[in-house]
Amino acid sequence: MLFKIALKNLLGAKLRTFLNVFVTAISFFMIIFMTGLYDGMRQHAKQVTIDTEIAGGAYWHPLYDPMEPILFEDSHSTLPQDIRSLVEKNKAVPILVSQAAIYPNGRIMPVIMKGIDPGQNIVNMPTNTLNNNKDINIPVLIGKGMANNAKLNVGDSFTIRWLDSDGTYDADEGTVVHIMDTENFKLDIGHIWIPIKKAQEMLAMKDEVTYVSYAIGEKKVKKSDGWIHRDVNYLIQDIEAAIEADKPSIQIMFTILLSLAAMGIFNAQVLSIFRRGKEIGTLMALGMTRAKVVGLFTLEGGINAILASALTVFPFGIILWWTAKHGVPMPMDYTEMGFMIAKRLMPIYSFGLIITTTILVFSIVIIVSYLPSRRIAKMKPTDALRGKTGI
Amino acid sequence: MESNTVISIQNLVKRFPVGGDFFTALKNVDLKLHKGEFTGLIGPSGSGKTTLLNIIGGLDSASEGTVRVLDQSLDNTTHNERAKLRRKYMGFIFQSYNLLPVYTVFENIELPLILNKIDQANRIKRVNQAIEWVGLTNKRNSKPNMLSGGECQRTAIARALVHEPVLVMADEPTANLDAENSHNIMRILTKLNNELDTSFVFATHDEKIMGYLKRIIRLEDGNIINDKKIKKEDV
Repeated sequence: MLFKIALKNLLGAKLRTFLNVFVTAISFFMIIFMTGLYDGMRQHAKQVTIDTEIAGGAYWHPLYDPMEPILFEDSHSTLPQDIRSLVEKNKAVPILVSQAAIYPNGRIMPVIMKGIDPGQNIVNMPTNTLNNNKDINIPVLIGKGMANNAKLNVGDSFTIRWLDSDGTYDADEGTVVHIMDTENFKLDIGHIWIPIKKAQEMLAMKDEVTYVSYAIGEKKVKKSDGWIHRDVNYLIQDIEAAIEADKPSIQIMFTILLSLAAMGIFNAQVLSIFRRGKEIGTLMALGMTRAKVVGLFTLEGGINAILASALTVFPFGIILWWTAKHGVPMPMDYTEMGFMIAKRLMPIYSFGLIITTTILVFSIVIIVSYLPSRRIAKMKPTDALRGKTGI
Repeated sequence: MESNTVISIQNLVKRFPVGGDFFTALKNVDLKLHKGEFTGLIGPSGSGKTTLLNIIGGLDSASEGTVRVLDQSLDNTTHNERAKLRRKYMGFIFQSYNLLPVYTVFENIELPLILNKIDQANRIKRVNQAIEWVGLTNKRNSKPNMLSGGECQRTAIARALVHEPVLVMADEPTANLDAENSHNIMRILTKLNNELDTSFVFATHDEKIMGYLKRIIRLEDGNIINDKKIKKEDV
């Protein structure tokens, strides 16, 4: 009986129902969209790191610690047999790391100089641009952020100074052959990339390597001779930690969005219910009990939420689908600020997010329908009939 | 209580809080109404007629005294019991019609039957009959905003009577209507009173409807000052 009356009320009150449903659907959409965008941003950071830096994992020289640049000068050697075999089969890329300083436009800038095999295809970097530069002494690949900081363009030359394995400072001229547009600031800011053979020659470290990144899907070698195997989970632990540390932020954002949605829905429902004080009085005069009046309005709220879900699926669902497929363009490049944010964010709308949001929005709609109707149903029928709702 | 007594009231007092004091709207009212009576509570504004009607209908409660309606004491009943009494045995007609704006004429009239859980086939039959009683056959699918005042009140009458209640209470049913519509409404109510043997209680100060009443109870300052049964030759 109540369902029939509730449905009739909702369908009869065309504009009022549409506005209530629309407000709820907008809330649904905004929560799912914003949270999906944030999830997508975090997942993107992880994916970019794997794609451009980590690949399937790495073998580190026993002394190598990327957080301790002072140890770079000791953390290199020739590769153990099994790891070298991976490199020879093009299933791993060797990288030689050292500290250096560059002097672009008369300024001094400390950098991390990395030698990499230009022909590699293990990590997604345009290292092939380091090839075929016969007239250039040291071809250098840098990121866009680094280029902006050092005010360098393709073709610009600058002095590179380094400390070789004998403890002697050397210097030579490097030339920018390509500026890569990468979202991974860890490859960009404070980094210069040169061909590994050139790096080994400059540093007097023939055939020596600091670490090796191997292809995705490659199994761990049997004998690594003291070189430390680092799997993807280890290598992305800083990102995972950042995501974990960021969880309260997303929870706060989710709560704020939900609160805003709740306020919007509450406002619409309270106005709607309190405007119907006379109708409630009439229903009471016709013999509807208070519990049924409360039930009726709560049920109307519930049907409201179902209609809002339908509206969220269409047309808002199309927007969600489109943004998940094509992404959302960002107004600026955040890489130079040290944020691993894509130029086009791909939101991730997980099943869990949709279910959680649906349950929460449903609960809110039902609570905000129940509370004001309970209050109004407690009024004397004579007051309700006069439309005296107390607001 | 006599078997045909519909309403029995003794020493009814109703007080309303006003500021820090109380206003006494009804003072020691004693009253009995019988089945099939067509009674008017007559008096100026503030005389207590609407308050008395609301108490009889269980929409308000007495401060003192006893009120029995349809063999049931309203003094110790719960909200739910009073709601059930209204739903099954009473009908209400309001001055401002109180039709639900999003419902059609048919749906407004159907509502008491839905609340009484009457099956659909029976509902359709009874609503159509009620629509015929009030002459709104051509307006059955219209919404209240498409109706004249007279048509709205006829819809409200059909809604009050569709479940064939024992007692119908009408609060100023003709106050918003012109003379012609007022007479039409009263003719319909008189006819239904005769056909259905339903008791009617009106709260009114409209002189136009006095001629239709079978009993006139005059109220002034919360007291019954006159209670007169009208014989046919008086009308």
